[in-house]
Amino acid sequence: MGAIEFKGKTFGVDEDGFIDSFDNWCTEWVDYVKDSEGIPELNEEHWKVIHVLQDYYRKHGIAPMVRILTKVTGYKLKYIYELFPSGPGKGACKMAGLPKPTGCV
Amino acid sequence: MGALAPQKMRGDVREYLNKFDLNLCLTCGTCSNGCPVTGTPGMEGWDTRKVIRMLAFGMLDEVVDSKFPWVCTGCGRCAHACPMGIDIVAILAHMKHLRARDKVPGILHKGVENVLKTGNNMAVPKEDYLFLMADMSTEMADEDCPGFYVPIDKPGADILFFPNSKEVFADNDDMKWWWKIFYAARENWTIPLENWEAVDWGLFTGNTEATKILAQRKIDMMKRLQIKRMIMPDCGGGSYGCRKGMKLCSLDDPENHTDYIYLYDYLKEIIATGRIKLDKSRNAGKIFTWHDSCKHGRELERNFGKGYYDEPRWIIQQCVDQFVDMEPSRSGNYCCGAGGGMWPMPYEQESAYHGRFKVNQIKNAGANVVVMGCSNCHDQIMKRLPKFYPEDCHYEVKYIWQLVAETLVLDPWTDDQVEAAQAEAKAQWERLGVDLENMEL
Repeated sequence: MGAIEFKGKTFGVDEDGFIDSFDNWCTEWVDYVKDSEGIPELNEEHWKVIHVLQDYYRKHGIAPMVRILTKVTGYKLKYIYELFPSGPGKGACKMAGLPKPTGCV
Repeated sequence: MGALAPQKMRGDVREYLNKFDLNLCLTCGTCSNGCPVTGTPGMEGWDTRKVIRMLAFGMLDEVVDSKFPWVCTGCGRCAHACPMGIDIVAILAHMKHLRARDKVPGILHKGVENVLKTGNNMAVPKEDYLFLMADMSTEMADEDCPGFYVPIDKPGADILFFPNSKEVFADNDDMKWWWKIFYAARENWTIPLENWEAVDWGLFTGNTEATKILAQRKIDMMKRLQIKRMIMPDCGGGSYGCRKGMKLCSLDDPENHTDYIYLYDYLKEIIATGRIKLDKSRNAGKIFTWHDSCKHGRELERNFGKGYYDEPRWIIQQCVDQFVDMEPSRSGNYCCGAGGGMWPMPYEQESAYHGRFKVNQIKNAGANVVVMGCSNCHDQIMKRLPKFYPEDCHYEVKYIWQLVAETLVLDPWTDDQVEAAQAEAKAQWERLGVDLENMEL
């Protein structure tokens, strides 16, 4: 476990740079990931993706399949990649405070 | 620091390593010279030869606690070249096995726990899996395959196919290439309802017990559904782990013997027997090359006596006119750098460094398209290597079954065939309780 300091907050992170606990997620974490992922500004679409991921995670304890994410948000996968260049499983999950998905994604 | 003295090893480890007789090692360094890990920044000069010498000296804890066994992709160039035939890959896999499970790097052990508990690495719930298969069935049927659906747990099928969780979770459309091939060949196929994972992270983490459990599940499924043959998962680790696991299961009980077919033999069979037709002209103007994945070639050959070298080249040449080989190729080929779990592990820099030879090989071959048969190699060569070597990576990447699917000439199904399949699909989704119209996501 490592630690990240950002805007006066300290976050525990795992080896993959994901936050150590969903409970520690906050908007400063989003700002931190935004910068490290090279996303200039967050818009409503980014937030919609984040909220859908979080709602599903609260219910199921994992990230949703991409097809569920695209159906519920109404965004095509290509657009989600435009929003989160490193993809839904890496950038979006990381920003939403979810653990890294446990697959070869 | 005082002089190092040989240490006494734990009995079980000594017994395991006795199988290899490390005294045979000539310390020639052929293993290290052939190993792409040698020289990796941050590895403080560790290399294969030194690790084998450390183990001969009894320095077990130092090796087990180090990163070395984990950045080893298990590509097997070392063992292939070792003049004394020491199975270095098996030794390093055992070093992974000896690591405490809570010290396994990154997400790998969590994935193993998931697959043992839920039947897939990513713990995708059954209802989501069924929704995906039903939704994509409709999509494929509407696109250009009327009557298509994904048969699930179909008794008496001729072919059992295992989905890869990364495709179920994220790269959904990548599943369609195989599906299109099955559609064109009018294959009597199925995927599992439970325990469908193609990938074996037991192999990646030295968890022999998990590898055996995953293989036994596949064997039991084949028996229960009375299926003729299963296609070995494409994933190098998935297929190789399955072979290793099946071997253990068969040693326990000969009744566990199960008929499988490698994807290369399957594709070759349906092309050679005319069950699918191909149109090479679709791929005109491009030069294609083939990446020999370690676990489908060198390591498979070294451990089980047969590597797939000729078959993929034959298949590609049924699809394209211009084919070139990389140098070296076949049993001498370089690993992409993603084997042994290095794709999902948190060692991206090391993995990319490992892949530096692959980048040069592709560049030197002058190919426009790199074709491969392993999903780990695919993502490494398509995504990670261009990220680290943007100046040198100017190529397309295709799975071999993608190339076949894109070269297919679809012979349309008759109306009767479409209607019969639609009725089967309707009955299946009802049986499984899937109602796409009223599904709550």
